[in-house]
Amino acid sequence: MRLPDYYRFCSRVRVLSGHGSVQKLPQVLSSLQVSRPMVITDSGIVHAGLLSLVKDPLEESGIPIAAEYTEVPSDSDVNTVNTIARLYLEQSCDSIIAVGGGSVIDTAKGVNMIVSNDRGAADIREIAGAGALIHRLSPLIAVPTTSGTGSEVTMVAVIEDHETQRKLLFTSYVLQPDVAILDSAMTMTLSPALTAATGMDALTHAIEAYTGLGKNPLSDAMALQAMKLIAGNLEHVVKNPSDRDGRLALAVGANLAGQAFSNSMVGIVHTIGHTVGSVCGIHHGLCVSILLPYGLEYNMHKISHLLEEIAPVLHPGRVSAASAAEETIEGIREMNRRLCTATEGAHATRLHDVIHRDGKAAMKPDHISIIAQAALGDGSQFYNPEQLDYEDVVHILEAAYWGYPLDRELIQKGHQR
Amino acid sequence: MNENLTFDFFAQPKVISGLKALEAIALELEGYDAHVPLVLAYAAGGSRELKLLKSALKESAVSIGAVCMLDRKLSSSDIPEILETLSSYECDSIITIGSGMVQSAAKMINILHSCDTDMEHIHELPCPIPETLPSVAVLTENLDGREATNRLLIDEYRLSHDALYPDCIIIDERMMGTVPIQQISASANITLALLCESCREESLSPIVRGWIVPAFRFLGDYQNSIEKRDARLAHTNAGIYAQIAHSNTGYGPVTTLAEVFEISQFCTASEAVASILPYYVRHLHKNQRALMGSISSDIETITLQKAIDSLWTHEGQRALHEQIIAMLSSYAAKTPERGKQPMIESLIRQTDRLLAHDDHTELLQLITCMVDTSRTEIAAGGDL
Repeated sequence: MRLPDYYRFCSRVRVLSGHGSVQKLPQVLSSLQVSRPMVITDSGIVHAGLLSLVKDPLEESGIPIAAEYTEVPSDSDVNTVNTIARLYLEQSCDSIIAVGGGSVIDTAKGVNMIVSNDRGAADIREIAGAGALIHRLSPLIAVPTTSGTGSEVTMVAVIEDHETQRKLLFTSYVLQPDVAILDSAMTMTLSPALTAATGMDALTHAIEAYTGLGKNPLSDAMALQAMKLIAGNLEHVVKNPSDRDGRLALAVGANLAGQAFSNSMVGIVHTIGHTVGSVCGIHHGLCVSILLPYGLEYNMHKISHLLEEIAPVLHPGRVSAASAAEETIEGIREMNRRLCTATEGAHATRLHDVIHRDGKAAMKPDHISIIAQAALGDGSQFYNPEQLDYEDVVHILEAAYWGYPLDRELIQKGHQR
Repeated sequence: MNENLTFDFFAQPKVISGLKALEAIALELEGYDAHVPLVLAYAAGGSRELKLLKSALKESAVSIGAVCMLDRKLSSSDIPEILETLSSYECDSIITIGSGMVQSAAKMINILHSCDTDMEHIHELPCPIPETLPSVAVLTENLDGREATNRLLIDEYRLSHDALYPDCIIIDERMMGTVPIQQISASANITLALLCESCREESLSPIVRGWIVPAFRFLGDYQNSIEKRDARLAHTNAGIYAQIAHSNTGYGPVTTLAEVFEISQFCTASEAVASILPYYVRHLHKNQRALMGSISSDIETITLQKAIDSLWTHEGQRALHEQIIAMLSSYAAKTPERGKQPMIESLIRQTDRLLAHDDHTELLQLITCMVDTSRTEIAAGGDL
């Protein structure tokens, strides 16, 4: 293992993991010296009965919930953030408990930026520029209900602005929550399809962290542990959703992947995945799951040695040394196919097969050029080992759309002409 | 089979390592709204390091409030004066240059300052502890095993608390290269002990594994080029990872006994560790074979056997080892069956007195292992 010339690693989130760990919320609040928490979540969590798992131990300990916002939409935006922040201030809250997936936790981070801002900002859009996010924020406790985004441990928040059709990206160490509570009970109700998509999102975080330009010894180590846990448990949990130990392993895996990519950033799979998601409305986890093998094929000439290293972690006992890099990619494709079967087709393996709830195809061939153009503006490409080229992104999208392996002969970058 | 997924893990320090890492300090302190740091450094050799720090802060809004140049053998009696300096110069943060005792001193004054108390009342701190001052630890290679931890030890005063973690660890390549190789080896011994103790079944979570695996690998990959600057950086990084992992897994029997020897000034912690650790590894291997196998497969480039062998390479260490074993055995009567128990009880009494260590089981097993197994047997490999 080589020590890089320079690196930084920071993961200041206290991670509490275990079956029933959410019961420790009262002690967590006490250790943070707060007593008027605001709970932020979405209606799906309420209907699934998960909110009561959070509220009950607080009520039993006599800790009042100072405010509650349970309607965070799946496409949460600046207006939602601003509305919740007003409620927080009106009710004199002193901390936030975010219960949900990435959207809820990112919304909570946005709220925290406003309520902790010493310049009196009332709108998240006013918080921008160097120096805007260097001071400590109010205590934030994240209770993730999916095992994918890793948002409970990352230093990133993405807030949409529907009016301007822009995504506001905030990055700062102070955005890392104070505590992440990983409890199997909080993900037990996740459907097999969402378990598969979010799990593959986490696996993509880990693999892109390990193969990207921002890697360092600690992000590598976290990524490897994450890969081991996710690859070793994802299919089993999709087939056996009530397996508590498997659920907890996925939660820890996603958390470790979050620690890894938060310190190393992601690459081409997320670059294209972000755009496919926003243009076609496809679930982020499903996007990156489909694109992962293609992104690795594109980068192959720069990362084959790294793919060889992760091969035994992802596919223990079945990889031959001679073709480990190729087998790693093929193994991911096979994993996607098995997840597709286990979810009765819901976990699509090519973009062509992703169907919206109204029965219409989510993506059409016409989208490809639009996505390719827009993807070149995505910031995550800067940490990809190989530069992105418009024509190459088109080739990747065409291959991922129709579901055939990337023809590297057609690729500009990495192809030795 | 999944490993231990029930855990509570916390790592406060941000680690910044490599070329011109010192230059990051200003931004770190400004992130805490801190602009007037107290600087603690060793008088011997510290002036060069201080000069580098001043240069790194030159263009920033951070201006050093006061500097305390300390003796390498500083003691608890030095603490009040440093505390007084911190207050009288209205410092809002602490930068500590150097490894070892100076870092414990920084932790001590920080906790006393925030709790407005003195050393005699260090075990009666308020709960929760009020916010401490932002602190940056600039390290050299001669780690004592506590710098990046949530622990301090000065004379007989010892404390473990998450409030003691430094906020930022700086490992700058310009700070490397001034320490003799023997001191780096001594630090590596301690690092190895921390790593092995972190491997205990009950505490080995995936996050702990994430911190210890790269540390093991750095020790293995760089152990033969210790005189080079990048190897020194790697050893220091390994030490930091091990310390953070160990802060979350707790003291084990090796570090407990080593601390007893250190406090009683019989020998240094690293010397004690070098003698005790092989027995502990043997004990672990015997009782937690599957676990040790999985660690070894993670480590790849270093085997524990190789690492243990390296502990006994110096003649001086061998002699000390015999002395330690002789001392332990002197508690025992001539017949082992009758003699073991009083010896163990005596040691545990001593441990209790010095450390208030409440888990005797592992300690007892380790001491039994030391009495039962000869160094030759350990060195020969056997179960290892």
